[in-house]
Amino acid sequence: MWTTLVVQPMLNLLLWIYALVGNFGLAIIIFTVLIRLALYPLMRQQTKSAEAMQKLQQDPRWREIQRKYKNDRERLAQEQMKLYQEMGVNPFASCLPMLIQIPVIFGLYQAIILALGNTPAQLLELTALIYPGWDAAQLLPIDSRFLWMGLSRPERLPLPGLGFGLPVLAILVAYTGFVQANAASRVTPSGSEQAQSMGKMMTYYMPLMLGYFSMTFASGLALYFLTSNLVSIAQYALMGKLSWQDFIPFGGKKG
Amino acid sequence: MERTTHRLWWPLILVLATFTTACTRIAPSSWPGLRVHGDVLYVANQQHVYVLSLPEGQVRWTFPEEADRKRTFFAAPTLAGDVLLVGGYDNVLYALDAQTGAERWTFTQARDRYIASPLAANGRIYAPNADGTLYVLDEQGQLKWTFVSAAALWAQPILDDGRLYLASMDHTLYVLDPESGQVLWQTTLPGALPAEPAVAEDGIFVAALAPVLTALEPEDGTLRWQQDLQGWVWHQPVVADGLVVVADMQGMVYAFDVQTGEPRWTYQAGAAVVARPAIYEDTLYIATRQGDLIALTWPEGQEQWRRHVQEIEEDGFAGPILVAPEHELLFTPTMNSKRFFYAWTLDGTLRWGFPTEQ
Repeated sequence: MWTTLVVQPMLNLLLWIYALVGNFGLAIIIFTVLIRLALYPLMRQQTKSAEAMQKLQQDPRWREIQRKYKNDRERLAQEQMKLYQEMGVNPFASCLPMLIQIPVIFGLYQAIILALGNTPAQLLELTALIYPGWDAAQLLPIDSRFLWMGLSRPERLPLPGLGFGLPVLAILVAYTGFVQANAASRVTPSGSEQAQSMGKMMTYYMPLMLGYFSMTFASGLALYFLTSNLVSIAQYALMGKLSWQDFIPFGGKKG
Repeated sequence: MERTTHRLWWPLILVLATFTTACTRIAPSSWPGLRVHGDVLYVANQQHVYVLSLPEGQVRWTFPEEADRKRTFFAAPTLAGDVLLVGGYDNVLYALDAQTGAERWTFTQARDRYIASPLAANGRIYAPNADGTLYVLDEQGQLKWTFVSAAALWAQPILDDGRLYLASMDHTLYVLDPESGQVLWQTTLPGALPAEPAVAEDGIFVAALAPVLTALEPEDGTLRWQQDLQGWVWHQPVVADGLVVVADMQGMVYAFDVQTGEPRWTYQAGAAVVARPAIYEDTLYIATRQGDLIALTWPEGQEQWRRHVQEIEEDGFAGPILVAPEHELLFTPTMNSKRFFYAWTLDGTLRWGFPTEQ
């Protein structure tokens, strides 16, 4: 069911783009941009909801109930809910678009990795998922070379004089991840000190984790991460939510 | 505030969940590589190479002794004198003492995994790699020369009559001088070549990831005949008694006349076939991806019997069926991660599975 409804259509779209452009790296980039553009309305809605939530949290009544009921969680929740209703804010509205994106993101990962068909078992699985009526025999195996990379292997850029290759893509993924997380935190409602420190941890740990994944897994996936981060940054810029401070990983100030 | 905290955690959970589901699913994998020599069965699967005694399948030794998640093996080991050659998914070719499993030497210059088995012949080791390079070594593991194709090499080379046949995933069959690596001839086929061609007196027979079987002249690769099939073929064709047999992903089994390419008979196995069939005496064995082992009369192609293995029906059989005539056993590798293969008597009685305990 999951494969038929999500992974298979995405996989075939990716292969169709590959057949069109003849370069798998380029196909991943176009594919990612298309999917992110399709998800843009959801992202926009999520940002709007987060802004409404931010506004609510700056309301004196919100601060008052936080102070008043800080030792009574049940009452606090009731009062918060009343305020949500009064101000017409749906607390779940900023989560829902994100939740809808989850299956898409899962499907994207799987489609990219499946398309690479690195091993006999993976290629066997891939061939079973290609829609009939398509001359896939000519298409496979995917040529996974892109720039200096083999997209089915972890990326390293060999530099003269160095005895090892530099994980350029992983560094770029981590850096753009920082920029994106900085911009995202600008539109995330602030909460308690604990929540804020958690937010900071996420701002730094998430990009580092994606950087680690990029260094370890097939670079096709890292290319997806990088493209996805760049598209997000561009979208935040279009929405006027990007500041030059966001480009400073450890010194960015939140607006 | 609690909600805010949770909102901040969920991306982390999402990423972790993604990688534990999506990426574990895409871990490098294949079916086991099996090889029989006399009383010994060599098995490469997942984190070990197993050396088993026949007929009962007791483990003599394993390599490595302790599982190492960075090292996995799927290519069938190759025996070269007293050395066992094993290619790993860690890009390393291992030469092991065939008696003890002790490491003799390693070759570490490949840039990708070894999906194909190496070939040892005339003092040379021909080791195709998924980086698209055929590495040719001497018996001490020193690199002598390389040959580079445009895509991964998944098939073991075949040496016959002074020619080295090398099937590539770049849709090309290369025929090389085994001493120098010079290309004698090459021909492009309708699909990728995941398995070696069948090299016989009657010609060269090549199956591909395309619905076509091709017969070529050994001297220069001239096309002799080509036959359309219903599905793609994953295995090396089988040649015997003037017929060439292939089984495709649509479950069709075909027997063609080697000379003319005329179809003699077909049989529907009921499920996709990845495993190379085997012929022994008057029986043709077929193993399907739904866990059926089927015996047809040879060369007539009439069904004799069919056995079904329930516990692997979701994964099915893959990889060449092996026959050990002196033990009257045949082995069917599976794609099941817990039961790697089964040993059967030639009349279809299941003797044992490996590992014996799950």
